[in-house]
Formats: sequence, structure tokens, C-alpha cells
Amino acid sequence: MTERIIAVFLLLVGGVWAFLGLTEYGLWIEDGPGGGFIPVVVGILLMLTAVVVILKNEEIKDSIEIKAFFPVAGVVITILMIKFLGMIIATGLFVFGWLRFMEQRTYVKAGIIGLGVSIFVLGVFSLWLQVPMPTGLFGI
Amino acid sequence: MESFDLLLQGFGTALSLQNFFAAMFGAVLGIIVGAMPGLGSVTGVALLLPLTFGMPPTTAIIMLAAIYYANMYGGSYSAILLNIPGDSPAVMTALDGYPLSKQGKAGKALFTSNISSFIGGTIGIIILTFMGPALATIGLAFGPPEVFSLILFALCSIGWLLGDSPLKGLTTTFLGILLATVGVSMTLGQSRFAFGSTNLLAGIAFIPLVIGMFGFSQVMEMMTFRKGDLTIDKRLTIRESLLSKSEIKRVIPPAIRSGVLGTFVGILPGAGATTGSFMTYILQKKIGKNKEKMGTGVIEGVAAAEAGNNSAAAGSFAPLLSLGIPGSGTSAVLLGGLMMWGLTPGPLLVTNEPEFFWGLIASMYIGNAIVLLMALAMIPFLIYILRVPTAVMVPVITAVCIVGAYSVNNNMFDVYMMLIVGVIGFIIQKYKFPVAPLLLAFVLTPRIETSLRQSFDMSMGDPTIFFTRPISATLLSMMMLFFILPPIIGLYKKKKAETSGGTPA
Repeated sequence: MTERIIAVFLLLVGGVWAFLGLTEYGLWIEDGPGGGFIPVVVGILLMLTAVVVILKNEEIKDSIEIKAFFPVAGVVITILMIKFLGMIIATGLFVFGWLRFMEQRTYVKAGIIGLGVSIFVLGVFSLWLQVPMPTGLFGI
Repeated sequence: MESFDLLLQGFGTALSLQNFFAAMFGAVLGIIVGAMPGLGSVTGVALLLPLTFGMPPTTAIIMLAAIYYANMYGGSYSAILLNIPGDSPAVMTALDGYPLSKQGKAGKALFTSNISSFIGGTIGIIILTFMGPALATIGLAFGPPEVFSLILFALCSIGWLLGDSPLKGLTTTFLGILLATVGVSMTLGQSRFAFGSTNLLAGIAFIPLVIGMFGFSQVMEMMTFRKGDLTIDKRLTIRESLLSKSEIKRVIPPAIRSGVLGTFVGILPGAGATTGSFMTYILQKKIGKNKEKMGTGVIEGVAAAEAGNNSAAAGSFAPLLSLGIPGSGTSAVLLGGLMMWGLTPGPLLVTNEPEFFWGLIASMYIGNAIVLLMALAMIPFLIYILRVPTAVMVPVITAVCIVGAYSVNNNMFDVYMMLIVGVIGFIIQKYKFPVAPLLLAFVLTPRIETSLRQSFDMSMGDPTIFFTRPISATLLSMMMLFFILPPIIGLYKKKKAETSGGTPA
């Protein structure tokens, strides 16, 4: 079932690209392919393969477990934390929280690994690579 | 002999303190990343790409290349000890490696794997030394129509060769092409598919895409990982891992044979280390000495697979550097990296950037030897690396994904992009859509679009230009064969099975 949903999604993507390519970006301009040429051709090809996928409807047992989406929630929470605490603290805190509350590690173990990640981000990205990290309420 | 002088100069570049350490660092990291189940060379290179921005391009690519080939060594460890290939090229290694370690010969299997990786890798690099410049010479004769046909050929063979389902390979190839059209078109300067977002005006950034597709989606995959059982419970010693003279004699011939075959498989567009080890293992099974015992735990099997994937990894650098056509997911990431450093892989790279080209090749000779030494020295410690719990790896790699995606353009939008791409990548991979073709198509699309437009400018709108020029015509007819042959072979097989009364295999 999910495979068919993926294929329908791809069908839509192909359709949107082909439609915009044809109507907005120009299929053929001055004796040559315009900006819409590849989107139209490949968009139609994608729609065709998507239709074949839908028709074949292979059975795939590999179901998706909800557990796999926990890291997604983790990233969303971290993105929110970055706004208030800055990148360096937020990433370390995320690792600490995950290990302590998801994986039941001790406060000390989770704390050390979380601190390690913060120091890594600070040392490698901020200081060595000079990436201006988003800062939070504490100015770091 | 000119090449030989250039290669010697290359050794000068590669042996500079900075580049030597880059190769060494890459080697260690590559082995570790490869050994960890679930992390492969694409993931490793993708996550480390942001770290190389502070380095000169030559140093950066030396390190990333070292990660790539060291990964082939590391991938075999978890295949042998856990029966979980650390990376897809190690799938064939597990077939004989795991039975060997169950028989208590884990050390010997690891040693065989390291030695044959070294032999295969070295053969691959030697062939690359000659083939790289030769391919570049051919490439110099390429005009826009040839470039267009070559890329089209590469894209189609990628779709067919990767994964179990050619249909799904083609599907993700098309998706990759469409994603690459977001942003300002190189040829006509118009903005496309930004859907009103200013962040999309410049297109989908390459690194967040790669980190999402190969880093974050792997993290999601790791959440549902089954835990493998280690077949060893004590430290292995190097002494008990050493091969006897007669065993060395059994390993060398398949390693050399697989090294040569693997390299040429790697040079083919669209075929990387995974296909390389697959082909060499099959060859060994057909013509090798111990062929009937293959799969039950013979060192020849490990040797064939490991020499095959290392040589193919080396071979894939030839089309990457001299034609700008990546043969695998990992080399597509390397291509993206090269372009970000302002180097344009292609025939002119060899002549315009000799220091880079020969420095990289020389570093591979040195790096391969470093990896061998490191890999042998690490045998006693493998048990600790393989015991690093995925529980710890999940949040740490997630954090690296966030910071890595952000640091490319110092933009939170890229983090959102990484997250979305990661989720999509995870879901489609679960349904057996391969993502490597998507990445290859994404990287190659700007060039295919430019060369297409230029070809029509040359011919004043006459499409026969692709069929009247010999190289282009040959490439396009080879591509047609790719499409026509598999169904015909299928029909033939079916017919044969029907006439012999048996069921088709």
C-alpha cells in the first residue's frame, strides 16, 4: 500500500514538473531546448515509471516501524532548542537527553557524551572552520 | 614517460606533511566507519564533507578518497564477524567470511580480507595511473553532443545496474534529474521551481541532500537494527591471524585476477565497488580452484570479494577524474565536493591541475599501504569497535547531521531540507527504491542540460547531430542495447526453460 502512495506522490511530482515546464519555462526556444525541456521530458518519464510501479504493486513485507521516526522528533526538538540555546548547547543537550531518557544511560555517561558533542561542535565547526553558529539567549 | 615524471612529482605532493596526515586520518576513520554496521562509505564521506571546507582541495580530496578505499577494508570486518556487511560492497565477503569466523578462523578471514584488499587496491591504482590520462585524452575529443550521450549512457546504465529493480532505479534517476532542475538554470539564466521560496532560488544544496539521503536516513534505519552476535568473545591476536605459506598461495591468484576484473568493472559508468565484488565473486565461483566449496567458508571467496571491491573503488576514480562521470554513490559525493572546491573534473583536469591529479593518485599508493598497516594493527581492537552500541551512535550522528547540514551555507533552511530529504530517503529505501541513482542524476543534470543546449546551438536545432558523430552514435547505440537486451535475454531463457521442460531458474 505504502509503495502505491510513494508512486502516487512521484506521479504528482512528475506532473507538476512537466506542467510548469510546458507552461512557464519554455519547451523549445530559438532552435534549442528551453528551460522547460528536461522537466517536461523527464517529468513525463517519471509519471510513466510511477504508473508501472502502481500497476505492478509488488508486495514488500518490510514494514516501517514507528521507532524509526524518533530521531525525526529529536531533530525537530533540537531545531526548536537552537532558537533559544544556540547550536552548540542545543546539540549537546539533545544527545544528553536522548541517552538519558530514551536509552536509560546514567546522568554521568549521558552528560559526558553530550558535553563531548558540544565541545566537538565548538572546536571543529566554530573555532576551526569558523562557521558562525546560531547563538541563543546565553550568547553562545 | 612524461606521466612517470608527473607521478613522481605527485608523490612529492602526497608526501607533504599535511597531505600524509590527511591520508592517515582518512584511513583510520574509513576503517572505523566501514566497520560499524550500518555506516557505509557514502555516509562516511557525506558526513565528513563539511569538515574538509577548511582544507586546500588537494588535501581534502586525499582525505575523502582515503576514507572511501579504507572503507572497503572496514566493511568486511562486520561482514566477517557479525554477518552484517558494514557496507553493500562487503555483502559478498560475508558469504565466506562469516562461515570462516564461525569455524574459529576469524583472524585468518580478516587477514585474508586485508591482504586481498591491498592487492586489489594496488592493482586498481596501477591501472588507474594509466587509464586515467588515457581516458582524459579520449575525453578531450568530446564536444557537447558526446558529453550529452556519455552522461545519458551513464545515467541509464546506473538505473539498470543498481538494485534488484531496474524500474525503481530508473524512477529514482528521473526524480534526481527533476530535483536538480530546481533553482536558476545554468543555460538560460531563468529561475525554476522555487515555488516562491527565496531559499530555493539557488537550488537544492548538495550537501544537505547527501547528508539527509545517506546520513540521516541511515540513522532512522539504525533505530530498527537487529543486533548481530559477535562470533568472537576475546581479542584476536595478529599472530594467530597470520596466514601460512600455503594459504598465501591460495589467496594470491584469486586476488590478482579479481583485482584486474574489479578495476575494469569499476571503470564502467554506473558500476561501483558493489558490482565489482559481485562480479569477481561469481568469476571465482566459476573458475576458481576451490569453487565447489565457495560459500562454506573458504579464504578464496573472501579474497575474490575483497580484491574485487577495492579494485573497483580505485577503478571508479578513472571516469570520475578524467571524464567527470561518477560510477557510484560515493564518487558522486566526491564529484560534488570537487565542484565545490572549484575543480571541474573532466579531461582538462589532468592537464590543468596536474598537481592535484597526480598528487591524488600518488596519495592512493601511499594511502593504500597505510590502510593495510592500520587495518592489520587494528585486528586486536576490532572487538571494541564493533561493540560501540548503536544506541550511542544514533544521537551523535544525528547531531553531526544537523551541524553538518547547517554549516554549508550557515543557514537553518538547509537543516530543514536535510530532515525532509532524510525522511523521504528512508521511506523510499524501505520500499527498495535505490537512492544512489538519484544522487548521481542530481550531480550530472546541470551538465546534461548544458551539453544538450550547446549541441542544439551547434547544429542550429538539428537533432541528427547526436547520431552523425561517431562517438556519440556509438554511446547511444550501446545505451539502446541496455534497454533491448534484458527483455530479449529474459524471453530466450523462458523459451529455453519451456523446451527443456524445466522451470526457469
